[in-house]
Amino acid sequence: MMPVLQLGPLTIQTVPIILLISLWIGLNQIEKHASKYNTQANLITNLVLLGLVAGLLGARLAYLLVYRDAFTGNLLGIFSLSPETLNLSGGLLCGFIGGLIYTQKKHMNPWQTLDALTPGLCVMMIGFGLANLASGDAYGIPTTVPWAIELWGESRHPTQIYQVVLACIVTWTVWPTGTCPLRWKQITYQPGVTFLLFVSANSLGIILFSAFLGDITPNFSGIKPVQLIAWITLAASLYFLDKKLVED
Amino acid sequence: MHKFSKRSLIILIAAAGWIAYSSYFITLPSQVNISAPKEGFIAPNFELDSGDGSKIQLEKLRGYPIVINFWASWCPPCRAEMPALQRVYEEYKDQNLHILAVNLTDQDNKQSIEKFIQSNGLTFPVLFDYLGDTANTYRVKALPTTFFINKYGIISDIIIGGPMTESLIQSKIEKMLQDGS
Repeated sequence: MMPVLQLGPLTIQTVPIILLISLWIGLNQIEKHASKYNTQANLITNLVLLGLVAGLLGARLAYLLVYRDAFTGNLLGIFSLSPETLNLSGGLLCGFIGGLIYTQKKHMNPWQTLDALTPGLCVMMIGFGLANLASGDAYGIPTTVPWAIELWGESRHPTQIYQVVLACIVTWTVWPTGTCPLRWKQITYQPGVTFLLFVSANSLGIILFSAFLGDITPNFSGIKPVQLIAWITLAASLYFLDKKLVED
Repeated sequence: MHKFSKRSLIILIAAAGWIAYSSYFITLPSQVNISAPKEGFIAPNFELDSGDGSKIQLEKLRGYPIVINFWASWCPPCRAEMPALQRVYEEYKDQNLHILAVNLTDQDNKQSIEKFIQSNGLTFPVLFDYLGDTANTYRVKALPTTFFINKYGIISDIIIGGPMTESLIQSKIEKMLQDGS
């Protein structure tokens, strides 16, 4: 666990650095493989950047709405660079709406666009796992297994490592130039299949590793909400995947 | 209407089975008694000198919302955010908010500390971590680092670095007050 890097007098927070590097590598990979999905690299890059800007604005606005009293006497605080004053749900919603408007305006095929975004999403998933490893977030439940790690006062399941390993397996499964035997060459490049495979494999991974997460309170008769959401996402992605395979 | 394939149905049933198995057999122990410098855990206890000979013990403040700010007088962002902390303290002290400014005295000198306290008119307690033990317990790797602790003694937020704006501090206190209500 290394939340900050001390380089002489300079203190660097590792989580934003890991996420920025993942984003940069992800964008590079999206551009590199865009032509394989019959999409234009510059359109996809613009879509990602626009989605990010819309997401950041939305995240800040949503945070302002939730804690508006804290900002009424100090309006300059709205423009603070602090990442702690961002709301994740608001950011995701606005980023999605911004991206949707852009794809409609540029007449981009939604399935081809989602496929083209998949290599970047794979890299980001690995990045999220590494960021959790650095910060100690998404920690596991206490255990006595031999591979347990000492974290937050207990021997725990190394869930951050599980997350990275699962993200790597998902990446190997759907990577455009990969050699995974699970990829059926004749269907992989049909629009939407790559993305739906990514969503299915990722949801399955989340269902598996979330069982060992220690920072989630179970609801719904002992079931963790994240597992339930991942199962519904898995069902939806498999439904569309089956539909696509029948169509093809 | 389109149906699921046999392969998809097997995957969905296996996934549902794993969810049921894990929710029943892989139990989540309570973190209520574990102390660690991390959101969701009990804030580690400490007892520190407040400069006038008296000592302040964190556990004795259980029941009140607390902000612990680790700082040093040579650290520019720590100096920059202290007036905002003072203003927020003035605003929330009627709601029993406690702010504890823990000075890393092993890296600082008393003269500069006292001069800084006086020039900024700080009215909340400034505590002296002479050996750096409390900073070590809280795994403080960068200055300033601020912990927001709700009335149950549970850490609700950690801000590494600064300077924090007044609105950021207020929003975290509001969240902490909501968590503890």
